Amino acid sequence: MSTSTGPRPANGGPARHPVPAALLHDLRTPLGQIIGYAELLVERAQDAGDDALVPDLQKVSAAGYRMVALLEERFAAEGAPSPGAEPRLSTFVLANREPILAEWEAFARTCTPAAAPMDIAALRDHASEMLTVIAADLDTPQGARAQAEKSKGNAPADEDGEATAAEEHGAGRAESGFTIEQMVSEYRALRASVIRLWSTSRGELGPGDLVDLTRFNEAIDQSLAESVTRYTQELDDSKEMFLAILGHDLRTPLGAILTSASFMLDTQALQEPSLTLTARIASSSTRMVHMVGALLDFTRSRLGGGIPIERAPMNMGKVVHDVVDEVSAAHPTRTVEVDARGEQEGEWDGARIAQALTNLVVNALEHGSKASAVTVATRGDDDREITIAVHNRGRAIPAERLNGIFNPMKPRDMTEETTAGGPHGNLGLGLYIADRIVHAHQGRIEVESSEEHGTTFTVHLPRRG
Amino acid sequence: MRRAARDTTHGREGRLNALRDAMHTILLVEDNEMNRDMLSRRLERRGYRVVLAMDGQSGVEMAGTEAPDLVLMDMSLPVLDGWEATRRLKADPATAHLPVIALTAHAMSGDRDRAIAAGCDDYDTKPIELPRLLGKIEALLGASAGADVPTDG
Repeated sequence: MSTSTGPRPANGGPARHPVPAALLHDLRTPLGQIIGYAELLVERAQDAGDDALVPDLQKVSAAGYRMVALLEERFAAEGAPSPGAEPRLSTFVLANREPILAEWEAFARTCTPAAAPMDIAALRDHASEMLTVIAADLDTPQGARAQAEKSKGNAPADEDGEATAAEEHGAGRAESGFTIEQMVSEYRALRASVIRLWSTSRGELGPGDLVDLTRFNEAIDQSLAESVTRYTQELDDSKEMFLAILGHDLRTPLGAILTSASFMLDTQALQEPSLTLTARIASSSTRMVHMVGALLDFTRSRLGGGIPIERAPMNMGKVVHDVVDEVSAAHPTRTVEVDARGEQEGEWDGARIAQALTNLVVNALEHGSKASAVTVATRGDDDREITIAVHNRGRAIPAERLNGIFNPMKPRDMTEETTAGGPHGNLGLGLYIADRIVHAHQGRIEVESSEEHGTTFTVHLPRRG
Repeated sequence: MRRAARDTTHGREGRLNALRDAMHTILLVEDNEMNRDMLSRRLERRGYRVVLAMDGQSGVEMAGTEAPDLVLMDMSLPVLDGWEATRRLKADPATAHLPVIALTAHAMSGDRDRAIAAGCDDYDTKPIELPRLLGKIEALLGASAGADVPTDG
C-alpha cells in the first residue's frame, strides 16, 4: 500500500494554519509507532510459525495506513490559482465593462500558468459586479473624511449588515482555495486594466481625471480591504470545519487499532516480546484518542459556541484526588500533591472539570521542573466560589507568552514541543480546552509565573450556575 | 580502533565480532524513544547493526567514533537539529563520505529541498514504510561499497 506520497510540489498554497501543521506532525509520530510495532509483530509471528495473531495485526497496520492516507489527503496542498481591470471614469468603466473584463481575464490567466481548472465565468461575474459597485461609488459625492477612511479600509458602517460585493468576493476566493496573494494580485490586475484602457482612450489626462483616478484607486483599496477581511474569516472557519471533519474521520480507524490491541492484550496469550510490543501499540493509540478528543473539543468550542456542560452536585476534593491519581499513574516518576481545604461541594460538570484539571496538571508536569512536585490546592472558604491552584516549579513562562497562553492559534515552536512533549505528545490544545471548560462554568483561570515562585494556574469556579 | 582491537580475540566472541564486522552499521539519530526502539529492532532483524544517538550533537560525535556505514537522521532533534548535524557531517572530511538519509514527520513540501540542501543523500517521511526505506538504504550502501574498503584498518 503506498500511502506516503513524499514531498509535494511547492504550489504556494495558503500559509499553513498553526494548528493543522502541529497536528499533522503530532499525529504522524504515534501513527508511525503503531504501524511499525504492528509490522514488527507480524514479522516475528511469521518467523515463529505462529500465524494466529497475524490477521488482527494486519488490521492494526491497515488502520494505521488508512489514517496516514486520511492525513495526507486532508492536508494535501490547498490553493488554486486565478486571475485579476479601469473615463468620467465611472461612465468609462460601465461602458467598457467587456473589454476591461477581457483584459483582466487574459492577465489572470498569465499570472496563473499552472491553474487548476477554474470557473472563469464565475470570476467574471464577481469582477463585473465589483466594477458596478466601484462605478457607483465614483458617482457618489464624498467628503474629505470619508475619503481618508476609505483609503484606510474603513467603509461606512453597513447598516443592514448585508455583505458587500467585495466581501462576498473575498469569501468566495477563500472557498475556492485562492491564496491571499492571488486575491490581491487580482485586484491589482483589475486596477491596471481599467487605468490602462482609460488612459489610452483619453490621450492626455486633465485635472478632473486625476480626481477620478484618485477616487477609483480608493474604491479599489476599499474593496480590497473588505475582501481581505472576509477572506481571512472564511479561511479560519473552513480550517476549523476541516479539523472537525478530520477528527471524526480519524476516530474510526483509531478505534479499530485500539480495540484490536486491547483484545490481543486481554487474551493473556501473548508472550514477550509480543506483549510489550502490543502494549506499545495500545499506548500510542490511547495517546492519539486523547489528541483526537482534544481536537474535537477544540472544534466544537470554536464552531458550536462553546463546550456544553451539565451541572450536578459534586465534591471538588474527590474529583481532584481522582484526577491526580490517574495522572500520577501515567507519570510514575513524578510527584503530585493534593491539598484540599474548606467546603468542596458545588454544582459543576464533573467529567468536564476533571478534563480541565487533568490538562492543567499534565501541563504542569510537562513544563515544570522534573525535580520538584506539582501541587494542586483547592480552597473552599468562599460561599460563592471555589479555587483550584495548580503549581509547578521550573522555568518561568516569558511575559510575552503569558499573554495569550490559552490561545491555540499562537504559532508553536515545533522542535521545542516535540522534545518537551516527548512521549506525552499533545496538540497544544490542553490549556485552551481547560480555559473553555472553565468559561462554560462562568469561571476564569488566572496565571502567574516567575523564576522565584514558579508557575501557578488558578481556576476560579462559581459554586453554581 | 575498537573493532580492530576486538578482532584479535578468539573463539566464539571473535567469530561474532567477525560476523558483526561483516554487517553494515547504521547510525540512527532519533530523539523519540519509541521510534528509536522500533526502527532499530526492525533494522536489526534485517541484519544491520544499529547504533543509536539521541540528539544531533551526539549523532555527529558517534559518526566519528562508531564508523557507521550510513546515517538515518531525524530532522527535529534537540541540542542540534538534523539539518545542522548533517551539514557538520558533510563539512568534515572524516565523515563527508557517509550517506545520510533524512527522516521527517513533516510532510511539508519544502522539507525535502531543505534536507538535500543540507547535504542529505536521500529523504524519507514518517511513518516509515520499511521496504521503501530499506530500498533507499541498500541503494546508498551499494553505491558507497567500493569507497569504504579500509576505513578501520
